[in-house]
Amino acid sequence: MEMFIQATVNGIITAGLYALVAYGLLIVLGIMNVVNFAHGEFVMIGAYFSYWAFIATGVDPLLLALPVALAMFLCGMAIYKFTVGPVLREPSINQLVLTFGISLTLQNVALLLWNADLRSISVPYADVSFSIGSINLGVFRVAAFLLACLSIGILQFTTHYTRFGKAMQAVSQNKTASSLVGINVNSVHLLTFGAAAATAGVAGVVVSVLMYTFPTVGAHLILKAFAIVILGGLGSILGTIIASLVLALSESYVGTYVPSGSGWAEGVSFLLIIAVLIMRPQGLFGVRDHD
Amino acid sequence: MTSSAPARWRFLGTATGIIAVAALAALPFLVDAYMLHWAITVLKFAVLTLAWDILARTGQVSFGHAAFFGLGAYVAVLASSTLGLGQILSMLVAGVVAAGLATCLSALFFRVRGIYFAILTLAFAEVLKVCATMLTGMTGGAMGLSARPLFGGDAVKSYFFILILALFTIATMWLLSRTRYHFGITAMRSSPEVAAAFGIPVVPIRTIAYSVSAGLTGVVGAFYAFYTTYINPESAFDVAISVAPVIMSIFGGLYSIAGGIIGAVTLTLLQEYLRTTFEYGSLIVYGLLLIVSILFMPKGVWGLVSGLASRQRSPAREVAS
Repeated sequence: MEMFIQATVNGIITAGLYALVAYGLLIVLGIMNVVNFAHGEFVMIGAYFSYWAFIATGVDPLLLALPVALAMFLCGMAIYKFTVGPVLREPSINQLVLTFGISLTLQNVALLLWNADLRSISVPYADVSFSIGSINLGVFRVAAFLLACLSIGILQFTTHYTRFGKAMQAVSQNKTASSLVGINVNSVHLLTFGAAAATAGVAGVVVSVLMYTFPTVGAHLILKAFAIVILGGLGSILGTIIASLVLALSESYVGTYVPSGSGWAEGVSFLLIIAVLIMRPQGLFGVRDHD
Repeated sequence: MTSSAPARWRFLGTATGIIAVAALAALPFLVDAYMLHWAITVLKFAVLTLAWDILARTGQVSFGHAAFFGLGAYVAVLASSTLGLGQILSMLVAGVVAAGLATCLSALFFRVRGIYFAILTLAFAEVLKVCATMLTGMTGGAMGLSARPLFGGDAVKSYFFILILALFTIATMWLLSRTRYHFGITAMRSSPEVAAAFGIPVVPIRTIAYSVSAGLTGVVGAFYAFYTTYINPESAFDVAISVAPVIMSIFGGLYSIAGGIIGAVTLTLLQEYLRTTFEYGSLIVYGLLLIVSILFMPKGVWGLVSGLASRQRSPAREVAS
């Protein structure tokens, strides 16, 4: 029973990170119908940003979330401006291949600059933990989880209760009608891409705290994020959160209970992708355009 | 003027083909062992790229052909070691198994399209990689399997095997482009609904294309296993194997035999050179080339060349008409 609760808690903490990564992927897919393969690399860059800033200054990485988000916001807009934006009218497969190229480039730049070492941050209070009943919770991990939740909350508020958020929703539903009522579709795209990159930056900070920082960390996460987006559908944030929990908890349980399970756990997200795409292509909770 | 121009181009094409085949047949007797290894690698990627393009022509872009490559590699090694089959027969068995799997998968996989099909195939290759790692009893797990060297290590024979496979692939694609299905395939690429409405059997044609594509990829995987004499899950189901044909096709020019060959030759040589020069991050060139190709020449090198050629030809046609 103790093992079960511990596995559940670990799963929930990981789910927070997964949901944050998936959300960034989701808004770009929902609003401009682009699958951004490079999203994982944005996370990776955020993680390195956090790692090097911590090494250089010793500032708590969680406090770095805001500057990292800002930097990634600008990077994201630049990448959109010069690469994704110009091919937005071309077939979706061109955009997929383009973002894949960006992903490959960033990954290999990171390999060239920082080689394949696994790097981890250790703060003075890394070992501080508190217990609820028999469950041990590391303060640092919980704080990272709360940071992920907070970011999702801010995004959710922005998309639902601000003028810009209303414009985003309008653009995702109908681009022509949006521009007819005076919404600048292009700048909505630009800002959305920037915002997605900013969330990836925050997710990168969480990654540098919860796991290791290495050049292909984003590639591992992006496939899980695909699984979550496919499972949750494009409809609602609730779908994304439930899908993140499903994936993270099943990975955690498979890793805990199945013999030599951590190897099989890697396959869970892929099996989910295949099963959901084949049986219910619109996702379990949402609707999807047919293309 | 009008009748002679296409005839001249066709003659030029045939002549180039014959000279190229003669040069390729003479190659192993002219170069050293190191160059021969590069030639084999280039041909290996040429077959992978053309095989991938067979499916891409029907409008489905796969990001997971490593599934069939790795499956072919494992089936061939297991068939030759546990069943005691000969190496050539093992490679053929690998191709048949890969094609058979693709046929079974078609019914399920072709329910999704576009970017979702790409992600589905990517995920499938990863599932097979996890299986190959975890089913240690059969596959040796992460330790991998070793195989007897192909043709007792005779590189010239290996070269001719992969050359014949490449010529077979090209001939298959060329013959296919002569049939009326060629038009059906082109139609379903731009719109499967419209193609189906015109009575083109979209799913059966895609199934055949997928099976042929997977079968050829499986044979290349089997060839790779025997040629390098060692496979493990990371190398056999490497994402780079899935990605290479996508990049090579797009760089050289999609949906054309010449484009696939140009892409495979250029990028394999470039990649092999960079890999021996840099320890880390040599794939950066792949990434940059992909970005540049999509942004500035979405029809690839062959698209640029044939575009220029047709621009030169068109004034003559206007004068004649």
